[in-house]
Amino acid sequence: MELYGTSSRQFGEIAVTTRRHAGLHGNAMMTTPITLEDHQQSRMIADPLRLLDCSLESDGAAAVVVSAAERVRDLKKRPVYIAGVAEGHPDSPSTITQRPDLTTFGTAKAAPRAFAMAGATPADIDVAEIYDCFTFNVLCQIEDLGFCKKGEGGAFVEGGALGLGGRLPVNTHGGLLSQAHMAGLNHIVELVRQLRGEGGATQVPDAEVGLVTGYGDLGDGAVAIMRRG
Amino acid sequence: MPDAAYAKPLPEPDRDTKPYWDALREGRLVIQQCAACGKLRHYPRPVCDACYSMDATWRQVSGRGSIHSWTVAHHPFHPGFKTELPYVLATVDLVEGVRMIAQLRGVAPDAIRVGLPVEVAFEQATNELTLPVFRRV
Repeated sequence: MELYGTSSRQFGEIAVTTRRHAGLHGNAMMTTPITLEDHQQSRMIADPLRLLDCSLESDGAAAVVVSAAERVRDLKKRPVYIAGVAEGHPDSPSTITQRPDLTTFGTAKAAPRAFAMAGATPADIDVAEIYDCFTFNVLCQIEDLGFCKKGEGGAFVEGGALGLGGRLPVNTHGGLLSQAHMAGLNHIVELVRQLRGEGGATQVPDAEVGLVTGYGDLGDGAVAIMRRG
Repeated sequence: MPDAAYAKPLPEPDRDTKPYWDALREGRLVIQQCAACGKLRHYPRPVCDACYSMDATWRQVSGRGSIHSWTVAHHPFHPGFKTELPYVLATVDLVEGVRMIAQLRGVAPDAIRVGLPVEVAFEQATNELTLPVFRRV
């Protein structure tokens, strides 16, 4: 925020959009719509993060089945193919305090490798499920993934860009912020649903290529790009 | 003054960190330094992340530095912190070239800026443990 002028209201855009998706989704803990003003008035937890910037604590479960590609014709469900995967670690990997740039995660190293493996670019992504332990992590990852330049994430998320029909629909299930904190496995489940066309009220029309990220406490980033079968 | 009813969690010195806590009790700030390549590292730990040597020494540092980043905590993640809210947790660039985290005392949150000069001070928590804090220079 000091470096790039990112604002709390821009964090709020992420919280509001994610909550709207949770309300539509039909399988989420937090479904009551919130406004930017609700976000701005929610109590401060650790400045600049307010209550509505923070993810949930949840009991629950999520699972996916990974199979060899040649086995999928025996299965009932439409397959979703893993097209590219990569993980990356930040500098320094061991201590947050010593990192040259707090806003660059391992995602920045993982993303080019995952996109290259998939033969895709950010412009090909129809829907993204981005690990959202806090709102700002979504913003930083959008930059690290190459959807915009570092420092431009705040402007990118404004105006409903992450909503259904926006330039990059994100966390169509409500994410860790509003669906449940299933450690991000729920993001993989949701991307599979989207690419099968099982997204229900939050289905991104004709979603063919999607992206999901994972994130670890010290800034480790994982990226998977998947294609509709 | 040591607080007999100190209610907050306390660090437990171990083989890697004991010299750090011992020095703080004497009013000195020491930082671990790789004996092989000379890189300073903080927090204390067994292996150098530059050359992987496990040989380390300790270097007394000035305690002077400047604010790299900070947060103002408004929520007590442990009940012992309730009476201090809100408090400021700062990441400080020490002039010796390594960063450390400690509470920042005596600066209004609105007055904190990146680059604000600070220096370490020592607060006795118990008879055994002294914690570092930062104050504005």
